[in-house]
Amino acid sequence: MKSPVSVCRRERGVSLVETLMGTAIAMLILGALMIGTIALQRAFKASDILASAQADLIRVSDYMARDVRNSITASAGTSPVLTVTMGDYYNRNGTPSNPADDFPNSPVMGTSGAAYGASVVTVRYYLTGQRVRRELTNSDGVTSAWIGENVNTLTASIGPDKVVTISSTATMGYRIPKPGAPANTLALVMAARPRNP
Amino acid sequence: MHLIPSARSQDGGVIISAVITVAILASIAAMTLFGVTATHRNAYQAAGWRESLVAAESGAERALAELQKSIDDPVNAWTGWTVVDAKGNPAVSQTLNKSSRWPSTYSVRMTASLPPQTGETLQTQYSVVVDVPGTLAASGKRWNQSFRIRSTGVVPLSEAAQAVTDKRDSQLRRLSLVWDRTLGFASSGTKLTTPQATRMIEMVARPDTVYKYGLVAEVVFKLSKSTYIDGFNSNDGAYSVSGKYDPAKRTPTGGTILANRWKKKAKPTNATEKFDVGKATVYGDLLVKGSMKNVKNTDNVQGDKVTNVSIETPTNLAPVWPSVTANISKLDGKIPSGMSAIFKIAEKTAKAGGPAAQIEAKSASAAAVVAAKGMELVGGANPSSPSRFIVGSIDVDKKDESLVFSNPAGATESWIEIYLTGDMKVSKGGTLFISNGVHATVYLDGKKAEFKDTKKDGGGVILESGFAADFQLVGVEQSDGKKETDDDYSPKKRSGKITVSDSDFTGVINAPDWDVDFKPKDWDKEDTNYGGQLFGSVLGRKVNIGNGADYHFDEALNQTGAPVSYAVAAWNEIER
Repeated sequence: MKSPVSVCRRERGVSLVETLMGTAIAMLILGALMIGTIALQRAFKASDILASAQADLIRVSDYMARDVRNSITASAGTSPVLTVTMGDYYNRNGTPSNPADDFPNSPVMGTSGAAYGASVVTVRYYLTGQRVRRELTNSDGVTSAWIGENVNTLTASIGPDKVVTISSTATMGYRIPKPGAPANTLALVMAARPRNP
Repeated sequence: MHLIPSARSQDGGVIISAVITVAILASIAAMTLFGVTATHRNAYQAAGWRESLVAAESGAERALAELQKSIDDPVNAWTGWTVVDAKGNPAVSQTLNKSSRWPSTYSVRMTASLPPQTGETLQTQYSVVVDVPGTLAASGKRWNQSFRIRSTGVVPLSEAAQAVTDKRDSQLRRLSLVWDRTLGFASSGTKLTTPQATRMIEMVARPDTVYKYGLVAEVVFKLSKSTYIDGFNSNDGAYSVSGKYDPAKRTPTGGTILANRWKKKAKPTNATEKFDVGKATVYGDLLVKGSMKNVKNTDNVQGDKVTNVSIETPTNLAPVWPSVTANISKLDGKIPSGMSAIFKIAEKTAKAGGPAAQIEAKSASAAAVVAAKGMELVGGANPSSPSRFIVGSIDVDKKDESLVFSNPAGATESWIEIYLTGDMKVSKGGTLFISNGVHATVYLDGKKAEFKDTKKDGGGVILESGFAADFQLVGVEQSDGKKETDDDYSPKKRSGKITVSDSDFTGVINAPDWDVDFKPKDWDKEDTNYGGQLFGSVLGRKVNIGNGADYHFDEALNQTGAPVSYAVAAWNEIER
């Protein structure tokens, strides 16, 4: 059986000095943790912005590249940045707002290639502020959608063999690694060639 | 003293603190993980979506290669493909059709995997369907059939079936996460076991023929300064008038000529003779197999001068037919003397409209009179069973001689094939009249074919439809012992020679080892219509165009004749 004295000694607690030292150490650890957490949060936020900007640029480029591949004609400019015409693949016999009741037109052979539908579909891309708008004009009228944000610059150029080069950049407001550093710019270049003759 | 409760109190505080700390850390980790996962999923799905286009294009390329094989190696074409119905299910009752014309309900499918990549657990696949919709079907009058190729690339996504957070990505990529959203498959609309990215493209493959260009020469060509070569399109009202050539409606870039020399030939004794454009006016492009060093006098080429272009132009073999309509030793087109007066009236009527090559025999009665008085061959009304004649020679060389190709009673379209083992001559007022609707092909296996001295004396080749593909001259390659060597510039011997002089001519010539001479006399100066008017397309060994002959290439000809390759006529991604 242990003596009561030894029990009392264990429960005597810590001295003021010990408490202060413990508190100081705890503060240091907590401070370090806080700084680390803030840095982590900052990095995480920056990564999130980076990923988001990258997703925007990729989406915009994918839209434009897909339309370029489908295009019959393509022309580059300032506003719109890019204009393409495409065959009217879908016959919109039903409700304009319901694509489910459309059906594909059959290709009809023409003198220079096969054609779909009686008219062409025109798609234009605009950069307004930092947002990209895709405007589609077909026999139903004009429909427009914002397809990307965070886009700082968007240009298109047409080179030999009708290859369309799409260049876009996003300037991220959140600076890495610390405030005051130059804003980071993400750039994406994609080339696509119209497949139609 | 109550020591035990005090100790319990201290223990509890530590545990709660630990739990709270762990919870906070776990929340931070979860948030981080959630964000990272979402970002990763988006990037992963975007990559899969892009890869599925590569897979779809692989399938389309596979189909194009098979179409090419159906030309080069038809026996082995479409091996491994299956006939399927409209839903994509195998149509067991149908056998694979390798013939050139497919019914509109006929489809063949191939499903295959791309070669596995390192670390890939689920392989990328493509499924491609080839068919001929009614709008691309063959038309005997004008078109070869084209093919529709629908190819779908399928990339399995091994991650959970979750959509990305930004719906704009979902709208663009339209992944099949839970339900198969791919069109035209037996599995369409069913629940998937593995999410997948799919993209479908539709391509139209159009056959190109040896008549793709206005003029193709294998060894050399020589043109004259007063010649001009341009293009029109008998299938397009913007570039023709009722299917006929009109100089005011020539195509902007028509009349392309090709200095081919695609075959490697034995080295000639002398230096290779240069292609001589002769400062002729060529509205189209000049295409050259190698560099421009072997071409001269190109000053008046209006289009581009393109180097390193050639096409394979295999020589033609004699036809082998299981049966023939008739064997005829000689077609001389003689008519009874008592009919000659009527014939002259018909001839005069027929020619009232313009140059002989464009004469339409203005009225049915005129055509009927001509047909009645000449030696008549009647076509077969079915393109798969044309009338076939083996003929020793054709010699229509007097004013009162005519040879008429006509439709059978009650038919407006028919097909005639003649295998000519000897020579052909239409001259001195003799007439070869090809009625509207007749598609005539003459296989030349003699030494020469001549169309001459008809402008002054009347007659000549009268192609009532005015469409050059309705009169095809196919030069058959002779055995080496029968070939001729004309001069030191001929490392490759010729099988024969086709001559058109003092005559207009409408037709197409496919004779890669035959020489072709267009040398009409320089008549018609009074109406500024100098020289002969030639309509059609020519593929020959040596091609000379002289004496101011003008040459009008019908661009619609590319859709007629035997295909030599396939080109992409349309490409679309099906986005829904």
